[in-house]
Amino acid sequence: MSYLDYLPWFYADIPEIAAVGSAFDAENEQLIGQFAMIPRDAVISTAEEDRILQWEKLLGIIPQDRTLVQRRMMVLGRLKGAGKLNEAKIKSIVETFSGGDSIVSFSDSTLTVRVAPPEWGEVFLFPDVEKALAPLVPAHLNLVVERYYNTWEDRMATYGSWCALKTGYDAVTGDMGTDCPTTNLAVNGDFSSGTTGWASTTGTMSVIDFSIYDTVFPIPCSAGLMDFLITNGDDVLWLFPDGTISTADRPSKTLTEAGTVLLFCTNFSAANLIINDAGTDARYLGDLSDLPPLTYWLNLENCTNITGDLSDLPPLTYLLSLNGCANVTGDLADLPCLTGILSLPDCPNITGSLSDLPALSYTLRLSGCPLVAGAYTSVNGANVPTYTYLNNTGLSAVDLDNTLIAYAACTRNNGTFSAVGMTRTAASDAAVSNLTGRGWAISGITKV
Amino acid sequence: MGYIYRQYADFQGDLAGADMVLMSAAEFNAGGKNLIGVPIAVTPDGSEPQEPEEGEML
Repeated sequence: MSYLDYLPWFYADIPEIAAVGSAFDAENEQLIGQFAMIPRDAVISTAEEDRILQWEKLLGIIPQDRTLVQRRMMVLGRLKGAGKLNEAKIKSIVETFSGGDSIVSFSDSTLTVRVAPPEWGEVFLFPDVEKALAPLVPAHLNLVVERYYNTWEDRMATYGSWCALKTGYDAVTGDMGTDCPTTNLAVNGDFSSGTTGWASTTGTMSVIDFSIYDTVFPIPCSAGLMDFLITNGDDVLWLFPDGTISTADRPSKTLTEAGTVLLFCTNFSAANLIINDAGTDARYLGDLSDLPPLTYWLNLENCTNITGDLSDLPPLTYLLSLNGCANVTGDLADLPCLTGILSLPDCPNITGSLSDLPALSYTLRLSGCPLVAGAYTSVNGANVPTYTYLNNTGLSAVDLDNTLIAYAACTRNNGTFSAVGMTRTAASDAAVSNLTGRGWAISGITKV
Repeated sequence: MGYIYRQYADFQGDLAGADMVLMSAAEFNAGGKNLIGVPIAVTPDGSEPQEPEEGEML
């Protein structure tokens, strides 16, 4: 309400009264804003800059380049230091900054304070811990304040590069080093004995509990967009070669140089978990033997530089797509038992017979696989691919006849069957007639 | 995929490299099945086969 609202209505017509009201309202509005600051300023952890400045003057603290949060921590730390210094007081002061525990020890006239991994990440200035403690320590004692955790900068300083870091892990059977004795990481294997590890983005420390992960998926990539996507993953964590992390399903990270991205999740084998390279394509330099134990869906379409053998694949049950992965070798008989989609076009080194394939319910794509032959006769009932592409394969006319006859015996209507460059005989005339009469499109086949 | 379809009714017996004879299911049963030595496409109504989108097959 304004000043005039408290007066009889006719006062508003008096210019002098209106002017007084206007001046009062402006001052009153400013005063209301100040009221809101009073409770905040009463507590140091929420105090505004002006109040913190007053505390700093009182305690003789120089603000330097600290943020407001760090200045509040420094004031609190200095205030907690009043009185006799003992272990509990030191821990209390450290806790003001890190939010976590610390280990205090004393020997050879040296007071050593080891700061445990911070509760909220390293949002404080680490040297401030020592600055808060130093004035309290008697002059005849040394004070040493050190991190009892590692930053990625520490790791990189030891190993020099991400690749060296990976190599180092393998070479020393997973031991990260003597200064981090509880953390173990095997890049191509399991976290067998590790408990806690640490990673950070520049300037901000995050604590990661690696003990929840038993598998890691290494994704070696050349420089550029790393666009892998995970769907339905639990506790997803990406570690990038530059030391940054992400918990997104699709971080779409652009790598400034080649390196290995590590993907962690706790349910790689889940019945609905999907891995898709999305737009990574030729930048993915991995091998099929490094894949995690997926059981549902793997789409590495256009990852033309991937290597490996079909026998290395995890036990997928629904979808496998390796379109254009020309380096992949193996026999169709070594494929996992898929039920939905098998898409391996333009994989010219794949061999085998269609007779080794299970009945797929949605898609079969083997175009451009000239070493694949045989008849696909395991189809039955509705378990026949809606989309079948067998262009330029190694199927004989008899193989194709038998395949078409098997399809015609199924119950599914309205499908697509393409076999460009392939031949058939009169033995499959009735099958083609039957299928096209039920909505199927059959194309590319030459009758001989 | 870059195929050129020639209607069965207009087919004179000559076909270029990437060409294909296109016929309906009825045309196939009415004699088209006897066409030998040329690639054919048979669809229920004689329209050109539709190439599904990549995502449609996944």
